[in-house]
Amino acid sequence: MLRVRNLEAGYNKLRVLRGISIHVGAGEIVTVIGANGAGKSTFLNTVAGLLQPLSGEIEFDDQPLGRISPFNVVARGCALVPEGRLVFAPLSVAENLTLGAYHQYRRRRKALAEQQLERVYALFPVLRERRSQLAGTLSGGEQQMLAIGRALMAGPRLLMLDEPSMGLAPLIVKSILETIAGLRKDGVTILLVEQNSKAALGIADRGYVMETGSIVLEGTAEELLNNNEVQRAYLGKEYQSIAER
Amino acid sequence: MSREWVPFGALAATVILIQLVTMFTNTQYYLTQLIMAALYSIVVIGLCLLMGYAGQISLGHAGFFAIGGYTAAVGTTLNLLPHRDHVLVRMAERAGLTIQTTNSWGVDILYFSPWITLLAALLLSGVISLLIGIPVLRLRGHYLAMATLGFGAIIYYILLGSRFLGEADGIYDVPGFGLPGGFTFDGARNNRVLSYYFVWALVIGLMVLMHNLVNSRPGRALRAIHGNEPAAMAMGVDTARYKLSLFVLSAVCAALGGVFMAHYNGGMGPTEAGTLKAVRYVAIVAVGGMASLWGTLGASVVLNFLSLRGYFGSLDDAVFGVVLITVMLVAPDGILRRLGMYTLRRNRDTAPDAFPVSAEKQVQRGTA
Amino acid sequence: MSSELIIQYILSGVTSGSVYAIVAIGFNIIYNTTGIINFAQGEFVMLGGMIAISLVPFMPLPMAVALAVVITAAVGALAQIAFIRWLKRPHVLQLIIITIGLSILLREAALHIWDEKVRSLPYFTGTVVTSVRIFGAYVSPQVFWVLGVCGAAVVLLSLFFGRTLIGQAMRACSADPLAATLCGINQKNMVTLSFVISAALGALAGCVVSPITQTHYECGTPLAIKGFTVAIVGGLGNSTGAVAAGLLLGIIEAFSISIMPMAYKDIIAISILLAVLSYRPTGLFVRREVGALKEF
Ligand SMILES: Nc1ncnc2c1ncn2[C@@H]1O[C@H](COP(=O)(O)OP(=O)(O)OP(=O)(O)O)[C@@H](O)[C@H]1O
Ligand SMILES: [Mg+2]
Repeated sequence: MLRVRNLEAGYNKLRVLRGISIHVGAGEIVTVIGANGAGKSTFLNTVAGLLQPLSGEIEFDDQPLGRISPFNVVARGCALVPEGRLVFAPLSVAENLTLGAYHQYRRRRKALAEQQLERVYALFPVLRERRSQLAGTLSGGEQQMLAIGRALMAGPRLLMLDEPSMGLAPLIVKSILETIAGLRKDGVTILLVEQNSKAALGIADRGYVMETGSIVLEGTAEELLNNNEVQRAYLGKEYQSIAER
Repeated sequence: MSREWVPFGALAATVILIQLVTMFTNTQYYLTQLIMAALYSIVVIGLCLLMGYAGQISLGHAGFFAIGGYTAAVGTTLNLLPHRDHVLVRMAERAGLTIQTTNSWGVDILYFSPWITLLAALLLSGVISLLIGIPVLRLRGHYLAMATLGFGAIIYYILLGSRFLGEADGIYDVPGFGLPGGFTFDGARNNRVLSYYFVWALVIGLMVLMHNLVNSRPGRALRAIHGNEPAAMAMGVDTARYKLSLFVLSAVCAALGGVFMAHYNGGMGPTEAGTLKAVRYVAIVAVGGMASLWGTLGASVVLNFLSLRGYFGSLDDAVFGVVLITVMLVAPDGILRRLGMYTLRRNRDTAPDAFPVSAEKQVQRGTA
Repeated sequence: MSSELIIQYILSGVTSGSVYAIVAIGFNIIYNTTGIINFAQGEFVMLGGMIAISLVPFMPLPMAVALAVVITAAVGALAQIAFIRWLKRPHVLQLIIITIGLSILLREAALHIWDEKVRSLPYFTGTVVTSVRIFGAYVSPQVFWVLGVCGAAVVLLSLFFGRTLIGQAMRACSADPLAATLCGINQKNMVTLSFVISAALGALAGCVVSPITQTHYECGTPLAIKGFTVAIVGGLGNSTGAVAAGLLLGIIEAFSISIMPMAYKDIIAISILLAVLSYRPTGLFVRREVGALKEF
């Protein structure tokens, strides 16, 4: 579904991604983990078209996605839940969700959008309760749900999430990740970027480990969970306890 | 002489050369516009410091120019004879701070010495800029632009609405500025060459002063403000104080230009305080490269000279609008920099980008 | 002061106040989608009046006004596309200077297309001498045109921004341009649209007040300063605040004539501007918490 080859990207003269290759098959849940500043957000933003790639290819459904305007990427069926949620704070919850389906409304697919709204409300019932509240006044967890809901409103086939667990209590992280995992049966493919590697690998089929702009490791979630390097660097296991095994 | 002073020597040589050329080609009338261009340059050099080095825009400097000019004009045209018994007038007269002559209408007059009004103008503009600057410089971007524009507009409306200040006609019959050596700075033809040398000496002196300021320790702090204010503050630079000092300094420069303009032209009108003049000054600094004293001086002399000689005709103001937009569109860091004429700037490595852009803004504006 | 005089002052204050409010809302619309203040806003008002005045000999008044609004809106769009839209990562200082330059260009263009004469549109109903009597005071029917058109504009705008998808998308762009892009909104189009709307709005105001205040190539800047004052006092970006502040400023100005020389009338607005900017830049009609989030 998504195939990235030798992607290089960055900011002005600063090259952050140094040849990234990743693929995500339809129906998969794939995660990219890595430390702060590894370039995970840069990677997702480049796929979403917010940054221009310096070189390399991005293919979505076998169509090149490289130089397409960012606002058209959504219409193709590839939605990003950005880092830090970025809900429209002064707008109501309902308005936030409506705007998520902006391209549907523009193409006069009103019925589809309303159908999608019902689904989102079913997924996150709290959003229905709060629909006329201003998004900026929601709690962090609710804002994350809203951000995910807003992205789902576009009816994406590929949903990319940038650190949905950021700043949330473990219990809420768990429930949100479970909801994300549940999206698979609706036919949504998931690309999840996380620092909370354990939680991410818990729901993922496969994973990639990114370090300073390159992929250093890839494998099934299970392989990565059992990999010593990963355990030491990302799962917070004590060096000693790994060495003892 | 260290290499640092070469540009100043070159400027002085150019000034002399131009005078000699006009003398031999019998085109001395050019000096008139060069004198006025120099006077406007005094304003613009101060503004360059404020905009280029502290990153603060001001659309109020035409107001300070007019404050200077009107103070000089009022002080030297107010006839003190009827008030001769007033204690202040008597004191001033005894201290030799007044001048008594017969004006062109054959009336005996007594007026304050231009030195006194010069001092008063500089003080007044300093105090006003301090009072305005303290609250207003806390603002940024368009808030600051509008606030200073508002200040300039207030000055304009006061000048326009006050009978005492001549309303739309302004003040005329301002005498020349008597300088040591029996020479008078004014618009009279036989004083032209000396007046020319006098203002240009003033400009060169000011350039030396500014150059030293920019390269002093506080000067480096100033550049830090433009580069990144929060960072400068975190480093312990008292940015508020530097911004304020620069604002006052640039206002005093503007007033200085205004004072001599009033003496040179023999008067001043309210349009000198108008928004169009203020925008002109900003345009010149922008063309000059924001943080480039030499670039600003060059731009000021060329643009003012052309404008004063009437080359732009009825499009005079429009030219400055076009110049402003063009510079901002194609070379926001200033034309000189874009052309790679770095040698004109001695501090290219440490000079700030005219437009630093924060990282997050880049993503927001650049790609969204 | 007689009660008739008081009513007279209040009505004249409300009339000019509603124009200030419209100019302020024009500022707000562009500010909300771009974060910049369009210094050429006053020139849109002037252009609207001027164009309508030139068209009126050839067509009925309503058509002239409508066409003037459309043409000014097109000018707004063209200016934005030519000078702002294609800029990558513009800096605030850069944008300020560009809109200042734009205001000079529009003003000088007006000077060359027309001239420095003061003109005005005919009264929409009746003539200069027609007046309506209310509570003992005589007022021109044009006053009601100004109030009606400005009121209708405010209502329509709030419906547009509150109820329509495009209006919501424009608000989304101001809240978070990045997230708006991720929703599939073409942010650049929204910014251009905001210039179109505020130019149209300014032109409309310029037409309805032209019979009362007259139009002149230089009339933009004072209006822009007052509109900005109103926008600031009402809280930048807050249109309800702008209406309240506009009426307040208009009334203060109208009453000022009775205690100080007419020539100083314009100074009041600017003094208020400087005072509010200095001591409460969030505006007077904004809750402190909301203002605390803004940067000045
Ligand atoms: N807008 C920007 N301009 C310049 N450099 C940037 C920008 N955004 C990120 N960077 C740099 O790019 C590198 C990668 O940043 P990125 O945000 O992609 O990391 P990340 O893996 O998402 O980290 P985190 O887990 O903290 O979110 C960092 O070194 C960062 O400093
Ligand atoms: Mg990140």
